[in-house]
Order: sequence, then structure tokens, then C-alpha cells
Amino acid sequence: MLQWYSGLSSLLGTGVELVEALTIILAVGVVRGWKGALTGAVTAVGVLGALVVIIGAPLVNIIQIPWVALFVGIIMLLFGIRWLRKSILRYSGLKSLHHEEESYQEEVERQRRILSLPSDRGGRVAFATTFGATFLEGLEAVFIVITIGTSSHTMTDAVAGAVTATIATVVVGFLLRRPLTKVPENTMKFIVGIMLTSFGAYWFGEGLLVPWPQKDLSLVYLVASLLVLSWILVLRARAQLARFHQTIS
Amino acid sequence: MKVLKALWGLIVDDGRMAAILVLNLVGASLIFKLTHFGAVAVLMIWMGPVISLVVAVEHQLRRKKPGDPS
Repeated sequence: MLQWYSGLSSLLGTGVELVEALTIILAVGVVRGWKGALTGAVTAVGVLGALVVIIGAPLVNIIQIPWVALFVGIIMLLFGIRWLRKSILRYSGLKSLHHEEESYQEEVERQRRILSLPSDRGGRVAFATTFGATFLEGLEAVFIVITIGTSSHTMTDAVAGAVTATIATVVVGFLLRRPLTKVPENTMKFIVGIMLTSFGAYWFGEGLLVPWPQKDLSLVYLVASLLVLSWILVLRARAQLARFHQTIS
Repeated sequence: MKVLKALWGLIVDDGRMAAILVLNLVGASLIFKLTHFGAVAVLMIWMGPVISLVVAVEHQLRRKKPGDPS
């Protein structure tokens, strides 16, 4: 069960982050040319891959130490619940949904503005923009791969999920050459948020050596309770918001 | 400093939610270490994300409430 849990969360988490990075790369490439844009993105992917090896490899050997497990559990829990909260707020209308087309147009406009400035530094701006965007978005994917891969002893599956998502995003992005607006980003973030929060809580308990009822199967209860809670919170927030709007009008 | 800020932003964007969650986990650890009540610790770990999410969403709802100055 843990292999697919790890692989799926890495696949979805990396996918959603790279879709956002792809939007920036496309916008920069269209305005400034592809050489600088692609070099920046590829360099960032290389650095992120190195980070997985440098941090992930030693962590695999010490993850059994209880305080390391506790630390990884807390990090995973905080990271996962952050995504879960954001998705709930977006589903309920408390936060606006992320639109790739809007982000794309904003970045195209931004690049055109910089291009018209006399201080523009040409290809270096393209490199720096795509490197920064890919690195920052990819860093979240690295977090997911390292934490869930080491804690569930499924590093290979986590890396495989991330690599699959990277290849799929690159191929689809190359074929379409426009932002991937059809990708259900909020749903993907929601699923990963549920998976990481549940596993983070479970793994924290493992680090503490608490006796989980039914061992690994406790994950099912954790996932189910978070799904039900999210559904209730979204429904309640939507109803409250509708009441507020009625009051105003 | 910028790197630390970026890293911190990756795990905490709602300080209230993160604080409740971490306090809950610390409480679960203390109870388990001091009393060895495993079931209580499990329940606290389970309820930590639930409570912190409820508080975070309710806080956002209050901010949207008409006439709320916050």
C-alpha cells in the first residue's frame, strides 16, 4: 500500500508544481526566446535532482532514529496541511482559484515591460526568471519526494512518481506550447494535502512509538476523517459566504 | 535570509494553524512520555490536524464577515 501511496503523492505533487513552472517558462520563452528560458529551467531541475541525492540519500540511513522520524513527520504534516488548507479555501470560495492562463498573461506582460527598459540585461533575465520559478516550484516537489520517500522506505517509488510527472509535463508542454489550463490543480493539491497530512501524522506517531490501532491501516482512518472534515468545512464555508452575500445585497 | 524565508514559507503560511498543530503534537509527546497512555496520544495526534484546520478556515470566514474590521 505504501508504494502506491508514496508514488502517487510524488506524481501529483510534482505534476502540479511543474505545471505552474511550465507556465512561466512558456511566457519567458515566447517573449525572450527559448535558449535562455530552457537553460534556466533545465539547470534548476539539475540542482533539484542533486538536492534529492544530497539530502535524501543520507536521510534514508538515519530515518529509523526516533527524533529524525519525529522531525520528518512534523515537516510533512506542516507541508501537507498547508496545501490542504489552501485547497479547502479555494473550493469554498474563500480564496480565488489559480488560473494558469492569467499567470501566463501576467508573466508575458511583465517580460515585455522589462524588455522595453534600457537597463534590460537580455538573456540573463530569461535564465534567472525560469531558474527561479522552476527551482521554487520544484523545491516543494523535492520536499514531498524526500519526506514521504524516506519515511515510508519507498524512495524509489517517490522518485519514480516525480520523474514520471516531470517527463509528462515536459512532453505535454512541448506538444501544446501553451499553459496547461485543463489540469485540475486544486484537486491535485487537495489529494496530496490529504495524503501528506495523514502520513505526516502517522509517521509522527511512529517516531513517538505510539501504538497505532491496526498499524498501517490507521492511515485509512486518518485519510477518511480528513476527507469528511474537508467536505464539512467546504460546505459550511460556502453556506456562510452565500449568507454574507445575501446580507450585503 | 531570503533562502530561509522561502524555506519557512514552504511549511508555514498560517502561523495560527501551524502553532496549534505543533502545540498539539508537543502535548501528545509529553502525555505519552510521562503517562504512557498510548491511546490518548494517538487521539491527540489524530485530532491535531482536524482542530487546526477548523480554526484556520473559521478564521478566514470571520475575516470575510461583513462589518468585521479585521
